Amino acid sequence: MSTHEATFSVLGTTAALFEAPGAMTLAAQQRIWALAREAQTWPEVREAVPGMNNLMLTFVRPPRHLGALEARLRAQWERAQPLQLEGRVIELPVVYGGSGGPHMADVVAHTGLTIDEVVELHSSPLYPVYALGSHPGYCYLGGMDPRIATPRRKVPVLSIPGGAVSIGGAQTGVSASAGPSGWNTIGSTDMCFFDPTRDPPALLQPGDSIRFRVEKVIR
Amino acid sequence: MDALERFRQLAAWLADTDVALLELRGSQTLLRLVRDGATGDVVQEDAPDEARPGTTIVPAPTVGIVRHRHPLRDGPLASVGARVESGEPLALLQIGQMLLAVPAPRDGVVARLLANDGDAVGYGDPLIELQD
Amino acid sequence: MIEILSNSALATVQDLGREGGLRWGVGTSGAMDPLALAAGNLLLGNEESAAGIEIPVFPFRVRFAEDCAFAVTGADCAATLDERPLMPWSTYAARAGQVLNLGMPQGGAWRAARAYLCLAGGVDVPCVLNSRSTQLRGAFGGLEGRALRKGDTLRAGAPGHATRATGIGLVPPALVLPLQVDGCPAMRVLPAAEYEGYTAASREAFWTTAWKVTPQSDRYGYRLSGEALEPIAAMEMRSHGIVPGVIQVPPGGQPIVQMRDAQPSGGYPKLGTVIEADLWRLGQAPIGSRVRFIQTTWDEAVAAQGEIRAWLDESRRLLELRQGLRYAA
Repeated sequence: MSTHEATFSVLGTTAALFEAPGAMTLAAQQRIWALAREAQTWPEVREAVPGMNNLMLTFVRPPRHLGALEARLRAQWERAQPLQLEGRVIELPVVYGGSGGPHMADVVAHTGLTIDEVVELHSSPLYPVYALGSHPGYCYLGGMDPRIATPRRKVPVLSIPGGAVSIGGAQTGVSASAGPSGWNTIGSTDMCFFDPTRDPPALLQPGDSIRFRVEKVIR
Repeated sequence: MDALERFRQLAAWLADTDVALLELRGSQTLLRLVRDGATGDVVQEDAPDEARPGTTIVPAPTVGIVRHRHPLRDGPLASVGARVESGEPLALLQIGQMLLAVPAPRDGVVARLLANDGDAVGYGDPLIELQD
Repeated sequence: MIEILSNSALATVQDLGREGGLRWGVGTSGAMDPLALAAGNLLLGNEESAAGIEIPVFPFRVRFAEDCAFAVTGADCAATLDERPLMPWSTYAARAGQVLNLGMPQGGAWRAARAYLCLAGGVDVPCVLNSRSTQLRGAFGGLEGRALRKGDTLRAGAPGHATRATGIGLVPPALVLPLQVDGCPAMRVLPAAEYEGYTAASREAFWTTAWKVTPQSDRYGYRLSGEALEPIAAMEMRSHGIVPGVIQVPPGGQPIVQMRDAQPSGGYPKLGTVIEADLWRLGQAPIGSRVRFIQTTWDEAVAAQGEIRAWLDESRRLLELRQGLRYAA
């Protein structure tokens, strides 16, 4: 939730959650990256995990004095400068529509656009990777055109395959493995986003960007 | 702690008392500790549970609290009259949150329970009498 | 080495969890009752964090292909070894060829949902990203990243170890550290960021009524049924990191407690989080049972974590003393 002041809360004794105020922006995300990099050095922090304009800190051991941690985090946020990460651009070839994009018709119906317009608007931007989460290798992306925003499905699909390219609300993303999803799947891509034997195991990290290349459109 | 060390410790404890003679009888052993130059009447309180012919007394292998049933379960481990196999747990000894099984030394039938649930026992105290 | 004789048991290899992977979207996984797993390991002289087998569906049968010491903790499932009844939370030495059968969890003093089979030296599967826990979504870790099937074989890390240390047991933490409200297992909860966003009546209902564990409850999440929890106004969330224990309330008002295989991030409003020290209690609550939540404070929750640690340390101390005595005898 966006308020005018950053929010600090706990997730049991396992983690703390820091939420930046204001509109969701890349600049704010870059400050979250900076905050994460600093907090990762603190002895009580196991992992500093960026989310969408927020940061979760998991604890090695719960700190005795929570207030002190909160004060330190808020102070660091005030000082945080947007961290310019030198990322790579990964191009993903996408087959839009067809059996790999079973909900394209729903996006078309909701937005009032044609399939070609949806494909054009989806494949034009460069999408910065804001954070990883949800499942191994999955990237939360910023930068989707609001004209193709489509609400999450009322009934989630039990399983969409890895490589599914989907729209959920104002966001877009690509599944890294098969699993349930409430998003609208408009296409599919062949790309390995996660390999536990690689180092690092995830293909992408915050600071990288994705471009969707139109391989084919099945109407 | 080996047997000799145990005897020494027993003797040291006795030295602090006015007991002149101590006899400990097990099913196959007799231990007698006599204070030097002691005289006096032999007082025998609480006649030890002597093993009746054809039975075995199963002693506590350590100190602990006697448990006749596992804390998660309702039924007793060994009821009088139950047939048990060698190695089968006859009772448990609880030390804090740890439980030690007291195994049957041989096949047999449970004849008597010689300690009650909740009793604090020491090493060697009789727990169960098994009919061979 | 053991051979799995059962099918469809949803059993998985788990250790105490995979840390450090949240940055890649990898959740912790790990045992739903980490205390039971750690205790089984301590009984065998293993590291607390050695891998074991988590069994949520019964009956479950394995055959020992070689002599091996083992312990079964968690739910008392009337375990037998070649038909001979075993005591729960105790060590035994299996001989090659013997069959261990875990039956239906018993009532008794503690009705629990999951059993843990620990082996001397731990279950020997490859470590992936610093853990032997099964990561089901990513299909790695444990045995080939999946649930166990009939015919699978698993090696014990040190089967010949600890075979003399049989007949040793522990009183389960459910009895030593009981926590119940009105006869139901209870868990302490710390309010989360959106707690005040729920109506006063909903918050009251959350703390004062019993919640039923529905059949749609598993390692991903426990879906509870009870009074619908209503927000004061609709809350739109941004995706943020979450941990096991987080209680989300999706539209519909029925809470879901995220468990060990939950996604490591979420977008639903959160009412509170079951504290880490109590999550095992929920993980052991059977389908159809009812649970209660207790509002707690940060200090109490930290203290509870200390209690868990103390129980494990005391167990280790008593067991080491015992093993020490045994070696000297």
